[in-house]
Amino acid sequence: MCIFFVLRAAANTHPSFSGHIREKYAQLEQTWSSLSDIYARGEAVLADPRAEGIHRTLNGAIMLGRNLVSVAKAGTLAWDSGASTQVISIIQTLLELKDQSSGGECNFLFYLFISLFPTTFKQLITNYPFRQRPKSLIAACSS
Amino acid sequence: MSIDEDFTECMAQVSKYISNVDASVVDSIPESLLYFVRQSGVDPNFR
Repeated sequence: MCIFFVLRAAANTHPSFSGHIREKYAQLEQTWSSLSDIYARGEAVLADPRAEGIHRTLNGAIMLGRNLVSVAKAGTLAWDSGASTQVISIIQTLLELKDQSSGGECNFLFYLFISLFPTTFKQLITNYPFRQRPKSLIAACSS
Repeated sequence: MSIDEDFTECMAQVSKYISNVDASVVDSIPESLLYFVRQSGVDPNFR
């Protein structure tokens, strides 16, 4: 199975994966429900030291969502599926972890999440009660 | 195997991988996820 994907990825010319692939998956409810589930599972183990090995996989799932969300109608599906809400929750978890340590992985994930759903993040910042804003959140906004 | 089946299997594989913390001690990533990330328009050589 892995060889199957490696070969196809290397060739990158499979006729079924032309320009429409991005639109196709971005507009499927199944895509966003799956990503939402993956984000939830990832967040649940984010602080677990044993989970260090899965960070890259979680990053991959996040990048997939990031690349798909800009497709027409995909944003609505992302919200309806809970994927966007899950991202906000993960941001909050990462902020807490970031305050507790200077772990590079957490920093990377944090800034990656900022780039994911930037509008959502901006709304989160705008609506966040000022007194409750973590210092790291303010620093991230001003940078 | 259809593309939809591939994608469904990929999502299931990633979900299972992330859920199994004890087995995920190696810094690896499912090849199928790399493939779909690349297809969605980004270099999968991320860290």
